[in-house]
Amino acid sequence: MIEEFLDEDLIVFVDKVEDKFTMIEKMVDRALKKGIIMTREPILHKIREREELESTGVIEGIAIPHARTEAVKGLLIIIGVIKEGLDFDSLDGKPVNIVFLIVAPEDAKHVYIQILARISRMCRQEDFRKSLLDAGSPSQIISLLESFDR
Amino acid sequence: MDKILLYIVSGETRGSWNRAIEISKGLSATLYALFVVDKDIVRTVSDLRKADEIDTAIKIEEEGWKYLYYLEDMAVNEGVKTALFVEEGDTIDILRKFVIEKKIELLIIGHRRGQGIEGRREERMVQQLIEYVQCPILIEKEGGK
Repeated sequence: MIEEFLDEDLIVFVDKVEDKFTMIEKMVDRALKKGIIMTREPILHKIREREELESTGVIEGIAIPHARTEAVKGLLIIIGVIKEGLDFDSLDGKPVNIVFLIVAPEDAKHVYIQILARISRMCRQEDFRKSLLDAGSPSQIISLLESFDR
Repeated sequence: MDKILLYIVSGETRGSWNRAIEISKGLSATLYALFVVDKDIVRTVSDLRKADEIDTAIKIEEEGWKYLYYLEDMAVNEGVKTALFVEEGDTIDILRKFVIEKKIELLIIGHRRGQGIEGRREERMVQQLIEYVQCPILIEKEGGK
């Protein structure tokens, strides 16, 4: 289910980043650069709006910011890896090393929730989290996601 | 009141979801939502379906996350702040500890008058909640009966 939305070019590796919104901007810019989205502001606005209300879905060092907006044509998964970890305002206060940014059109609620549920469930598995943190390249991350996606 | 907990039983208890959102909004409280992958339920479902327990637990957990994200979607539209949780184990034990650890001030649960084994299990669970959980509990009768 997840593999159809994965793209090696939409995996962003950074050593460190100052705050969560800068990281999210870097991730959205990657999609913009690849021509998957035409504009970044409506997406950033929607994500910021959600993140200001709550720090969306943080599970053991993995953040899953998400939102629906008409600014995207189809469901988009952008993955961010932060080597040194990042404060994501999580309830448990733990730094975040992996970010799954999920954006979907307003009318794609069903698939959006399915993807969120699948990724959240995978992220609760300790062996998945460990492998994800050890992955050194986009292709390794995609292989890992495919192998845990069942 | 700052922290309200909605224990998500299933997708059929949406009356309690609406109630929890309404109360959280009215009190500007954070709505904590919890789904439990209950070991007994996993075992029972696996036996009934002759399925592997790990696979059954995975399916139940994923279903739980879907409920949580549907709830979050509804809550966000009302401007209610939510925090989603999935835990594994014994439901009563998890709820009892969760209420203490997170300093929950009100627990909301949906209750259907079920029949057979499932109905009796839910009746027993509500009784145990009343006995063991150390915070006020609001039980929303589902289905309007």
